[in-house]
Amino acid sequence: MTETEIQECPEDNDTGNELVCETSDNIENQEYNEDNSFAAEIVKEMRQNEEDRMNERWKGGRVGKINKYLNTTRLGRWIKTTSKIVLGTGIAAGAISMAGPAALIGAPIAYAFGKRTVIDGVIEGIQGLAKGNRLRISLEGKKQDQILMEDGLLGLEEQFLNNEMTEEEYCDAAAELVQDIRNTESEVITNEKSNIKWESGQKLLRGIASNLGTLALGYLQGVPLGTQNFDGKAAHAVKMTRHGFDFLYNTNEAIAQTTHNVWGQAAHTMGQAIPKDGMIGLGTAMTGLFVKTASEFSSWWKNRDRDNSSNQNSFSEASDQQGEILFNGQFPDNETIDPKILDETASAQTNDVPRFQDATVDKDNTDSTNNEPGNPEPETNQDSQDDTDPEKQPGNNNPNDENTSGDSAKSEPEQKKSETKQEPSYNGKPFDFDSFHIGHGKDIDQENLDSLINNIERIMYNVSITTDKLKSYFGDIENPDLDKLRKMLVLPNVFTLKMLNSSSRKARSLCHPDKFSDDHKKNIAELLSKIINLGFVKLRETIK
Amino acid sequence: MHQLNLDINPSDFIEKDILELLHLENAPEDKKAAVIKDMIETIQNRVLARLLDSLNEPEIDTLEVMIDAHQEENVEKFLMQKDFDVKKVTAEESINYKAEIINLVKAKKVG
Repeated sequence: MTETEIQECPEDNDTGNELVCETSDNIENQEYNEDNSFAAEIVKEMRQNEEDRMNERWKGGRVGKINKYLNTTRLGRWIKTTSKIVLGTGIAAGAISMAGPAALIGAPIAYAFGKRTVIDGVIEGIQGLAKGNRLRISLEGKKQDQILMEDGLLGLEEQFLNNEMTEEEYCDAAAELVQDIRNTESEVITNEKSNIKWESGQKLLRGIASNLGTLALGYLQGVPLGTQNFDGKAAHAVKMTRHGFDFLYNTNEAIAQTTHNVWGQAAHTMGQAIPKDGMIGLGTAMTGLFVKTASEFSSWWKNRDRDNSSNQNSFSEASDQQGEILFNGQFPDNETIDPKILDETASAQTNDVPRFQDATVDKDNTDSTNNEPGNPEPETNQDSQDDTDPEKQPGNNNPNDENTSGDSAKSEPEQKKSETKQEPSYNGKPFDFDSFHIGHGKDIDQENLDSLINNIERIMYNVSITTDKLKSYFGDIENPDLDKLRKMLVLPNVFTLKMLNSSSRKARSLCHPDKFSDDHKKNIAELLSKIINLGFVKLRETIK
Repeated sequence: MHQLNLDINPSDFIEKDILELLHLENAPEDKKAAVIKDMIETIQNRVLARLLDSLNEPEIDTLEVMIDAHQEENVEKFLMQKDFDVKKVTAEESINYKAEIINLVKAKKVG
């Protein structure tokens, strides 16, 4: 209880003691303050608990570091602004306080933006709580199970190393646990698929509903026009409602207005004094919003069947591909996304999904110009440096590669043939290790990561490569050439253990033998994994 | 139709701000600011959890490196490439949080 809640009473005449009077006001205040601190405590407790759990889950100060970053960047400001809007303390509430003629244009837009986000959030929240969240919770549970099981595996290893269990016991327990991990992994993948499929279907509907919702709410409750002075008196907050233009007053003004009765109110709800500019601003904002909504709705209505079937197709195709999820950017509302970004996203799907399809190799096919999976375009355009040095291009000696100068050199039927071909093909051109993508040598970033993925996939998806060639390139397998390995892993001259860990882990995940059904590729993958593993140990020793 | 499990009027849920819904509108300004700060931090943590969950280890490493190097644009580009829509995720988490905290405070009061 604070001092403001306690009113001192006059001294009791008999005892001389001070009495604390529990007036009805005090009781109300007391309740309010208990209420107040109760809710605030829950909010605080929740934040603390969740923060602790996150720090426990992602160790190494990652959470703190990223949070600190967010506090000082545009991304963080977006999070703060969006959460404020949704919590109801942001732009929509603030629109009314915008002043002057600019507000006539700015306020409705800000209002529409704020409300739309809120409504979009509410709809999404409802959908999320109803179904999406269930999926998410189940997914989280599975992920958590998997983490616990992986921890369990480490625990077993420790017990074995400490001679607390025999080798046989360890092998049995580990095999069982590995099987459990695999099962959980496949459940996680299945859940993810179901989640993505469901979410994509809801996205456009949400967009339309929230735009319509904004219009409906604006119509019913009024669109704020900022603070205006149309009546020549003191400036008032103005709202356009279905009854016309309302001026909002503070309490004293409202009381005064009531005393003026009907005339007073009528004078302030007609809105004839609205300047032309204001009407244009308001009209533009509302019309734009309406047209956008209407066109979205109409195109969605026309295409809904096609969207549904294409969505189903894309997801069923995705399910067929090595049990992985492929995002092809075909969400129904992709017109709102920059196609360039979609292209980048599709090509950057590096999450253990080979970007180059594991094509059936037609060894007789000798007319293709596209020899390696990492070079979807003719190599002459990809790597001009290599082109100028014929020695670096063993493939150029192959008479079958005469057409490497480009499509223009092809006859028409051949051109058509290559145009209709969906997948990259490999014509048996010898693999060129010197064509490894080289990173910029600074650090791990998306560019270097892409180069690493490219390098591994080039090896894995080229038919001309053999285990012998791989062995001869890296030298002694037990002691592979570290410079070449570093080049393949796109490691700079000076690298950290963390960098090495990440790069080698990513590389191993891309050439895991279990990913391939073809015996030839399996052998290559096994050998490459071995080279990376053994090379990793050696490279680690070089770190000072 | 799915229903949001809320004890309050849905239009209140949309229209009123969270402080009003928690009866904190008359609290001292510093108290209100502290509550809002806690709320936003919780939401930010949840967004972060979603982000970290959506990335694999090497990707998190990549992100960390970019953060260390203060490459703001690269971070945004990276998130876009990973199809992580910060605004959308924040809106989802905020609305879930709003519903959750209202229900929780109410349930605790009753309990």
